[in-house]
Amino acid sequence: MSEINNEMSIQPTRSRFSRRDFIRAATIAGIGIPLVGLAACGNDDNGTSDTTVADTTVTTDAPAMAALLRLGMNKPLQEVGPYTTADQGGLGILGNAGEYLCFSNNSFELEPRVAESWEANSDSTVWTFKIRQGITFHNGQVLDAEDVVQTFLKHLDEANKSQAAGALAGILQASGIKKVDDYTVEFTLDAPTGGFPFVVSSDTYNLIILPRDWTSNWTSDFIGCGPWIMEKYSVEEGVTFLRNPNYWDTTRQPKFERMQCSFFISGATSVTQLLAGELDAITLVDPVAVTNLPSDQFTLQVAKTIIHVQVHMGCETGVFKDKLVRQAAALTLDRVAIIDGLLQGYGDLGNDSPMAPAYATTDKTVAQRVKDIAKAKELMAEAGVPDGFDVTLESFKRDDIDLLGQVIQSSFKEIGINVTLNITEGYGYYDQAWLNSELGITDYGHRGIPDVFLNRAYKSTGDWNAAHYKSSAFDAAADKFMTSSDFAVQQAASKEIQEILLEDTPIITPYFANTITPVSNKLSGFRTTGMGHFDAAGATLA
Amino acid sequence: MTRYLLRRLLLAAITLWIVTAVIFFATHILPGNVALRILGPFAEKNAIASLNEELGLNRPLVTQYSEWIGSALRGDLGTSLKYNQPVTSILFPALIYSLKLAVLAFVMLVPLSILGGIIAALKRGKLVDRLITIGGLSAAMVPEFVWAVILVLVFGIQIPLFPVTAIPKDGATIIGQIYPLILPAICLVLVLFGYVARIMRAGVIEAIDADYTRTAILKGIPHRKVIRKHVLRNALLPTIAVIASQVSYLVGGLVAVEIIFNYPGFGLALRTSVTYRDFPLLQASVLIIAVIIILVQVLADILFIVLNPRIRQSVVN
Repeated sequence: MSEINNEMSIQPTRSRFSRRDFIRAATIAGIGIPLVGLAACGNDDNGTSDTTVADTTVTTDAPAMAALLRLGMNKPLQEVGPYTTADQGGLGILGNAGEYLCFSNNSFELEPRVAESWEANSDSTVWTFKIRQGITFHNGQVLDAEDVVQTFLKHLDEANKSQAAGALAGILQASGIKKVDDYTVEFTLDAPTGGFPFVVSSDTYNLIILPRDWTSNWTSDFIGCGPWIMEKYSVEEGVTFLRNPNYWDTTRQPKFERMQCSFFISGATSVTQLLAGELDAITLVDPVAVTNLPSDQFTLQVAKTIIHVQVHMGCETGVFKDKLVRQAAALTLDRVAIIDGLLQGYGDLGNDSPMAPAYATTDKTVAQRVKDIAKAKELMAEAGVPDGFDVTLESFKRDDIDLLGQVIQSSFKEIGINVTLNITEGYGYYDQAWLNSELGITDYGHRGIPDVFLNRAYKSTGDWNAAHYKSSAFDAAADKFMTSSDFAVQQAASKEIQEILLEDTPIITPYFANTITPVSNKLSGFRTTGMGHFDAAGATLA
Repeated sequence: MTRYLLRRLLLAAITLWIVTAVIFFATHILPGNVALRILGPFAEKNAIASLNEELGLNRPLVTQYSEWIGSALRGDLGTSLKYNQPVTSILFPALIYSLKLAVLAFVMLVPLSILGGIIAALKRGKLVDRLITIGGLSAAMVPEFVWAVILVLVFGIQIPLFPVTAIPKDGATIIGQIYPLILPAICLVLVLFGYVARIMRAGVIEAIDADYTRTAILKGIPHRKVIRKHVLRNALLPTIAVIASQVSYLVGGLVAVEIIFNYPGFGLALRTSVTYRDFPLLQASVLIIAVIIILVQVLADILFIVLNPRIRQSVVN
C-alpha cells in the first residue's frame, strides 16, 4: 500500500570516542558547562581512545549471550495492562506478551497476526475478520473467535475504563460485535470506516487479544498469545521474558531463551549502558542522546513516524480568531531549523495538517509553508493588528516542548506577538489548559492512518479539538477520507483537507519526528515501530 | 535511661504523627485531577469522573486521612494509584536498594572522613592538612550527579573497570552485589568526605586545645592514649550528628545518582510519586523516610550517651 520505504539504517558518522565526545556525552547526561571546564583540564586522548566495550561484553558474557537479549526501554509510567497502558513503555510490554488482530508496521501497512485476513462490505460498515487457527495463549488455552469478541466487549465496557474505548468511540459499539463461527468475527460499525483494520490493529495498542475469561491483574502473569512469556516483572527495574515455544508463527519464533528489558528513566543513561556493552539495543531514544555512538559498534535504525506536536490557536474567540493572524503566526516558523535543532535532523516537515508526508495518501503537490516574515506582517496588518498583541502559550514540561516554546516565542515576536510561556509540570496542562487555551502545544503519538487526528482533534465535534475549530468543509472532507477505503478517493480527500487546513490554520504542525533505535552491530533482525512497539522475535546476535 | 528512651520514642511518635498530617493535607490541596493523571491525558471523561468517584477523592479530607492512618497502623500503606500494586511492593525493594548503597557509602565514608579529619587536625597548617581540607571541600563543591557522570564515563566506558548500571545480576554473590555499587558509592563519598572530615578536624582541634587534654598530657599519659580516650571521644560527637543528618539524603535524596546509574532506589520512587501525584506512594515514602530519620536520630542520641559521660550523667539524673 505504501510507496514509501520509510525505514533506514544510519551508521553514526564517527567511530572514535574522543575528548569532544566525552564532553558531549557528559553534557547530554545533564551536567552541562561545569563538566566542560573539568574535562578540559583532564588528559587529552587525541581522539585515539576507541572504546573496546564490545569485546568486553563478548568476553564476560559470552556463555550467556546466545541465551539472552538485553534491551533498554522506557519505564512504563502507569500500571501495565490492556486497559491501563497509555505510554511507550507499557505498550512495548503489551506487544511482546500479547498479540493483536493485525500489526501496524513501519511501512504503514498491516501484517496479519491473530486475524489471518479481513474484508469489508461495499460501504465499509461491516468488517469480517477471519481468526487464525492453532493459536494458544500462554496458559495453553486455545484462542478462537469468542476470545476476540470478549476482548472487544471488555474494552467497550465503561466499568473497565479502557484507554482503547476512546479509539473505538463513535465507530463500534458492543452490539456491533458478532461471532459468526468459531473462527470468524463480524464488526458492524456505527459509520463507514475505511481504516477500521488500523483502528483494531497495534495502533490501538491496548487491543491485544485476551482469554475470554480473563479478569485478573494483568501484571501478575502478562497473559497473552505473543512470542514472549513473562518470567519476572518489577515496576522499577524491568521485565524478563522467556521465549514462547508454542508461538504460532514459526518464522518469528524468538531466537533467544530470554529477553531482559531494563527500564530507564533517562535515555542518556541507557546510552551509557549501550556504550558499556550492558545492552544490545535501546527501544527508542531522544536523537540528542545517540548522535555520537561509535559507528563501528552501533547502528541507528531511523523510522519515519507520525509523532508530532500540534500548536493550536483558538479559532472561536480571542486574539487568534481571525484566520489571517493564524496564517501569519504559522509563517514565522523556520521549520527546517526546528527539525535540525530539536530533532537533530531526524524529522519531516509539517505543513500544518495531520496529513504527514509519510502517509501514502498525502498529496505531495500541496505547497509547503515556509518562513516568510514580510508576508506575515502583511497579514497582521490586513487583520488589523499590525503591532501585534500579548498571548500566553500553555503546555507541559518536556525538553523538546520547552525548546519549541522558546522557538515559538522568539519567532512570533518578529511580527509583534509577545508570547508568555506557561509550561507546567506533569499533566497540569492536560488537566486545566489543553482545551481552554488560546495558544498551546499538545503532543500526539504515531498512528498508521490519520483518522484519529481528523476525528478527534480537527472535526467540529472532536473532543480533542483544542483550537475549537469548526468548518463544515473540513468535516465533509475528513468524512470522505475516513469512510473510504479506496486509495484514489482518500488521496483526493487528503488534498482537500491539506488545502483547507493551510487556509484556516487552526493548528500549526511544524514537524513529524522520526524514531531512533540504537542497535549493536552484532544484533540483526530487531525492529521498532513509530508507535513504540519493538519486535525482537526475529532478532539474532552475531 | 529506660525512661529517657521511652520519652524519646514518644516524642518520635508525635513527630511522626505531625509529619503524616502535614504530608497528607499538603498533597491533597495541590491542584489537579488525580484520575486524569492515572488514566492519562486522552482518557474518556466518563472514565475520569468514575475513577475519581471510585478512589473516594470526593469525600472529606479528614475522613480520608483517618482511614489512611488506620490502615497504616495495621501495616497497609495503600495501593499505588499509578501502578495499581501495593505500595509496600514498590517501596520496600526500592528501600532495600537505597539502604545497600547507603550502607556501602557509609562503610567507605565514615572511616575515611574520620581518619582524614584526625590527620588534618594533627598536621594542622601543613601540606597534608591543606590537601585534605581543600581537596575535600573542592570535591564536595561538585554536585553528585557531575561526579556520577564523570565516574561512569571514565571508569565505566573509557576504562571499563566497573558496570555503569548499579543493579546487581540475579543471584549475585555478596561481592557481586557490592561491585556494581562501588561507583555510585564513590560518588557519594566524594561529595560527603570534605564536609564530614572538616567537622571531625574542627572537633579534634577543639579537643586538643581543651584544658582536659592539656591536663592529660601534663599527667604524662601517652600521646596515643590521650588522642584515643580524650580527644576522639569528644571530637566524634559533632561528627556523629553530621553523619546522622546525612541519612535522609542518602536514602531519599539521590535521584540524580539513581537515574545516572539506572538504580531503582527510594529517591526514584519518591520522584515518581511526586511527579504523578500518586498519593499513597508519596505518603508512604515520606512516612518511611521520617521513620528512618527519627530512628537514626534516636541511635545518634544513644551514641552520644555512650560516648559522653556528662550527657550520660544528665540522663541518669
